[in-house]
Amino acid sequence: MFVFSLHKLINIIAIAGGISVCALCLMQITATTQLTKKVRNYFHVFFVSIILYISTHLAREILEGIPGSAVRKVLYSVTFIELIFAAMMALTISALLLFVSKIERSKTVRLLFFLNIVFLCHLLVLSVCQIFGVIYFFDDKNIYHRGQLYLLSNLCPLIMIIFDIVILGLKQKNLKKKVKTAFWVYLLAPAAALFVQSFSKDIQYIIFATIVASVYMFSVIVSNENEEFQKQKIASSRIDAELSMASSIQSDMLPSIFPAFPERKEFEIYASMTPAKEVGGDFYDFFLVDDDHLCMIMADVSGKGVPAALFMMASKIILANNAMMGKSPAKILEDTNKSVCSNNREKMFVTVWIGILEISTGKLTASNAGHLYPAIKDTDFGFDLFRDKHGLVIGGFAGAKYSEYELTLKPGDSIFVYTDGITEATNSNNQLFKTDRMIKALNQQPNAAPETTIKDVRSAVDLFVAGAEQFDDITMLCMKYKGKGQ
Amino acid sequence: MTINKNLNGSELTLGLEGRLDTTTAPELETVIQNELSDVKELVFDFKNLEYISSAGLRVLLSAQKIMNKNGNMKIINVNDMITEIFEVTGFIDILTVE
Repeated sequence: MFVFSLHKLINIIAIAGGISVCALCLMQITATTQLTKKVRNYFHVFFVSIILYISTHLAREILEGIPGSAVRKVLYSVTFIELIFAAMMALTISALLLFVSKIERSKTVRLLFFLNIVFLCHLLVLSVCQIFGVIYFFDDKNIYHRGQLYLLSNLCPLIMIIFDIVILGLKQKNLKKKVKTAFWVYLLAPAAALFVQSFSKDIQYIIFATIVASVYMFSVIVSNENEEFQKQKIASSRIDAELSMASSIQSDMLPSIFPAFPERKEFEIYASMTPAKEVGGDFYDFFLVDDDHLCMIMADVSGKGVPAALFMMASKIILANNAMMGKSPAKILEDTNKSVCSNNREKMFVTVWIGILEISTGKLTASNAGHLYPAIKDTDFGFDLFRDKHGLVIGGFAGAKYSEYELTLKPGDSIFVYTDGITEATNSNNQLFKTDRMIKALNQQPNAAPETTIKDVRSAVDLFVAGAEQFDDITMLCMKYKGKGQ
Repeated sequence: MTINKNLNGSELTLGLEGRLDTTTAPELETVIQNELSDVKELVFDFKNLEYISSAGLRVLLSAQKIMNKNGNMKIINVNDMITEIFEVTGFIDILTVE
């Protein structure tokens, strides 16, 4: 027969309520996506531990005082489990505190190791004492009594509470005020309850206090994590917006309206750039220096992303300014190199191929600062690599000298320049596209208009990489010389 | 990429393995910026280096500039593909490749 007194009833109702509250918290952990993985895991373990702790306590409340050897066995088991999970709760809270107080990784690992050792010792002590009944025991009427070594069962939670207090004291600066308060409430609430309980022994104030303080701490940490998440979201969306603006500023810097010179019948030009990230370090440029001279530039800045894009903008402007003064290609590179080297602490560099076409004669004067070989189409033989003489990249050494070369384009000849985004496009087997495949793609329709040529190469690259991620900017420029009267 | 460091008196040999590109170049850059103060001879061993990108070339350029002041730098065991990259970029003229 169960005999319920009023205080037992209050305890049972409160514990049952506590179990449901903890279950609700568990559901909320699962539903809240903004939680850091670690915080989520710690709270999972923590609330499961509380549920086990208070339900074993509830079982003890109900069964205590009912005679019988079977009941006695159950009583011993549930009390054992209760003591284990009380320590488990303390362990997860200490681990959580280590995480939220942002202690360096290596220290955290060492401190966690210490906490786990304390917990293991606790398990060992409990198991040994369980056999001898020195921590607690049940008398003939199955009434609970503390044993001589009762304090041993509290040793592990006590060490962990002292640990928490030390961490809270030392790492104050790393914790927000409300998070700090929540931990203090959690640590002090049971002590306050213990004080109240000493006046009215029958009601389990400690358990109430623990549940209320846990839920409070949980809600504070969750709202704190939410805030951080929102802040990060705002920061990253600001960066996204800036990057997308930077990206359009950059692409607007490149001539991209085609046909570019509809009134010029002597040549046709087309170019494209696809950055691997929002902004890139590749660029092309073309413009008329005067009525009879077309300047073409293909360049690739070292590295990727924002640093490369900034350096690209500067190099593009310096190159164009030098070219517009009517200098020869080698002189343009030399002067650009001087300007770039004068303020280049980051040791950035850019490879440049520059060519100036004399439109009336087809004479092309070009110079190469560490850029890939151009591909030139001779009307009779199709496209082939033109192994021109190479100078050092722009930005390497202040005194670098560049040489230039001349060749004459016949009507129908083309020139194709590109960056390593083409030749080093990589498929899922880690194979590179390489120049051979590029030349083959160029020669699919050697007499096509520049736009078709560039699209042919692009689709050959796309077919080759077959969906593998684009690692580098892909940039191409193609100019077909038609000569006079074409 | 792995960097095998071997300091012998004032001669430092850096054996590079794998790919020297945008993601791995900062690692080498840290070594170059922090560990060259007492080095008179810097040797890069490229025997197991598969690939070098422009970001990697940038670090070599930094190293060459530091060693121009402090002593000598050379690169050994360079494979054909990397030699071609050095040729195309003009680096062959400023680096000592053996």
